[in-house]
Amino acid sequence: MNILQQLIDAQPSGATLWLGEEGLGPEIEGPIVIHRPITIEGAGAILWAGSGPVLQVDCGGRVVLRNMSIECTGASLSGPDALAIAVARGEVCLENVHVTGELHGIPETAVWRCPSAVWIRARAAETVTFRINAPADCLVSWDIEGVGQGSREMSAGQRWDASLTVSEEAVPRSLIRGTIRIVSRSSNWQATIPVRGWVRQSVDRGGDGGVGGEPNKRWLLIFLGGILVALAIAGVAWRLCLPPMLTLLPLEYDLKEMHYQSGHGEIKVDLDLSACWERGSARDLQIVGEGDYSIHDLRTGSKEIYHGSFASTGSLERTQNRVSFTIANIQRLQFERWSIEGALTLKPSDPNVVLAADRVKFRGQILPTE
Amino acid sequence: MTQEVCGPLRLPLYLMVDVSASMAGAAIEAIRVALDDMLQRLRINKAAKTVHLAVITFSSAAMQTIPLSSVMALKSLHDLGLDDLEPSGSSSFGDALKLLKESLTYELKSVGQPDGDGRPLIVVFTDGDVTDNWTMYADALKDVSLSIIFWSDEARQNRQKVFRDLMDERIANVHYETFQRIGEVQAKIMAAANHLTRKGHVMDYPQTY
Repeated sequence: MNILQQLIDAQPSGATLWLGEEGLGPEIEGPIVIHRPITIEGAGAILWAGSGPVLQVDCGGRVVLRNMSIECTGASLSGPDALAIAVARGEVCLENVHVTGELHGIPETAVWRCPSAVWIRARAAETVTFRINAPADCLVSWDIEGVGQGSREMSAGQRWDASLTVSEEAVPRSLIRGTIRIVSRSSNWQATIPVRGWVRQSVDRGGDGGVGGEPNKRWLLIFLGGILVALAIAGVAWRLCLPPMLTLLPLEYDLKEMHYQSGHGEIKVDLDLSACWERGSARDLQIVGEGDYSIHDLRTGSKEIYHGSFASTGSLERTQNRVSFTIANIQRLQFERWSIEGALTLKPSDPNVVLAADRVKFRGQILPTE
Repeated sequence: MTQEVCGPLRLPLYLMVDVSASMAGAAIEAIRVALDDMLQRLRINKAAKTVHLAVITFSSAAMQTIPLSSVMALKSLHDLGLDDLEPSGSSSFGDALKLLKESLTYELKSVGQPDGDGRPLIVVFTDGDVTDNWTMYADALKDVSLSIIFWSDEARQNRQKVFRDLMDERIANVHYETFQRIGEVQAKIMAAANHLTRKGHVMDYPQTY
């Protein structure tokens, strides 16, 4: 039994397990099975296994997975072996979870499949088509060198025959590379599919086999998304009830006087965003903050003690317009004369919320916990 | 990167760089320094004009950052597509080998023939903490010459040993170095480039390469 499984089994119901505090490293080998309703705060950790399910939930309550990646790393797998998350029993709430592999039993998706990679070999100005079957209400976006950028909203069960055209200026034998990103709209999970290939010459036979290989005759590669029909009705109804969207105004924030409470290896960054709102928030939002920070010793001027990065989810409440993020897994917080500064990027849980300002600077003195 | 490079007497050098989360910090910084140093040393050596470089990074997925390009056309880490490395994700070495195989197939011509490309040299920078089943892809690359530069770490030595054992079973021409001895790898690349330039022939440089 692996160490993470032992830690999970030792948690009482309702507990929160902070992976960043357990010394497991950033890449944690699974698989694991969760039998109790607990919260796992991943702090950016990657839970992986060569075959799935990487994480299986079988309990009577609610399991929350937050700020982590769950990756089924076995290529060419299918069926249960390809599952990143499988819910046999219970409810799973995903918050800022990046998934590689298939999902089974997540409320909105039923089953979700996506390829591990998309290959494109096409000539300049040639159009490549592929089909996406949306597993849930989602935003599909792509950023592919040699092709371009774009995005499209899709509803659960919708089918879209996408056409991407290689740039007319693309140089033969140059690289096509980028990603297709699929972000669920109503729960906070996402998948990224790498796109790679080459721009073909007008008469292009590729190489001659290189090292012991055969010429590759594929003219285009088709991306087949998962063939699924999600639980769309509830999601659509929920979408229809949405209030007007919100806009953040300033381009950049510098919250010079912010102070932070420290203790137990974490710092709460409490941001007052009330001045950001163009108009009052109509509902609460989850906002993911990702950023970098550095800690300085005030006694020795601005000497940097150390620096790092963080990803945390905060709740932006309608009545307060404040949002808190947690920078976790900070060691050696015993000194009082330390300051912290950094910047974070805000990503609202609702992709329809337009952020005119998504970059916030913060700076302040670290205060010890009372 | 969009430069197109072709021509006779190419010595293909494929750099495979592990940018998974476990490489964050000192390991990735050491790679930056090593690659920048390697690039600058190659650029000032006339014999290295035959060297053509491609870079494949791998974390949760592999991605080729530049096509096979003359080292003389590459000035900095930016040109290698490595100036903004941010380690994250798992370590899909198998995906990188799969991409390498595709690249070798597509980018090289008439390997070993008088007017063709030299036998490719592959240099891998990793901590050995691999998270996918890569062995099946290594089986398809038996003929390559592989150098693996390990980021030394006590905690990873057991995994590195497993990695080496599995690799040794599959690829005959493989050797291992640490970052402290990366100069050895640079010297061997230069030896192969010198041999290629001097002989004008691509297959008779030492079998260690």
